[in-house]
Amino acid sequence: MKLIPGNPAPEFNLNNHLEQQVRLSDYLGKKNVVLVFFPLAWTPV
Amino acid sequence: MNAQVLGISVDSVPCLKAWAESLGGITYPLLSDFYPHGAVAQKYGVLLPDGRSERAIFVIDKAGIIQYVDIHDIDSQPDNEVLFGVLARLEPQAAARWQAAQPGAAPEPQVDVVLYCTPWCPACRRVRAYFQEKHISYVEVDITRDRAAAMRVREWANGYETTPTFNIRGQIIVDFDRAKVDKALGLA
Repeated sequence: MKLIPGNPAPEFNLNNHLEQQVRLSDYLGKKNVVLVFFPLAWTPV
Repeated sequence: MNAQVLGISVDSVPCLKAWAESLGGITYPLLSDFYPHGAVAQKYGVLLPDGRSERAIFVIDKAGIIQYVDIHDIDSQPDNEVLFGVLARLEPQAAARWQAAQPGAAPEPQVDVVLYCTPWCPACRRVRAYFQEKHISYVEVDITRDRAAAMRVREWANGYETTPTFNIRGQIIVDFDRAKVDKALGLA
């Protein structure tokens, strides 16, 4: 299913490169979030 | 910009870092969507059948609502100007402050009448002719060349780069509203 502007953003809980947990909801009410999905490595940026 | 960039999946960190810096020195964590594989990409509808994710950008506001979606070709760059515009609309003051702090950012000209315009805007041409007819002296700022000025206009015009926009002795007028301009100039 494609998400479009106006949809609520699905929550997630992932580890960062320092093994710390980052939740989308950590930023709720605090900051706008720019979520950037990258394909696997070795692709040109 | 009061925005947090979160990178998901793996790409070269220096590339992601350089890109984030070009957006206003935003720091970001790099998140791993490997286990279970691509679960978050799937939730966001950007997981490809071959297990990679698309190259996609979501801007999520403070209320957790998606404000902008950009899914672009693997070979093309995200359009920073567009993305900056989205963030500027969400946080106009932070965007203006950030732009004003950039090296080379020109302060607003200290004159009675500043006209913010673009080289191609037809209404700007009408304003120039009108000011000439009325013998109004003014300073023109081309917002396509002065990004800090463009950010000021966005702050005044609800996030849009509306031209012409006027600053007449501190009074901001968005768009060529002849009655308002005349009044501010004391012509009415």
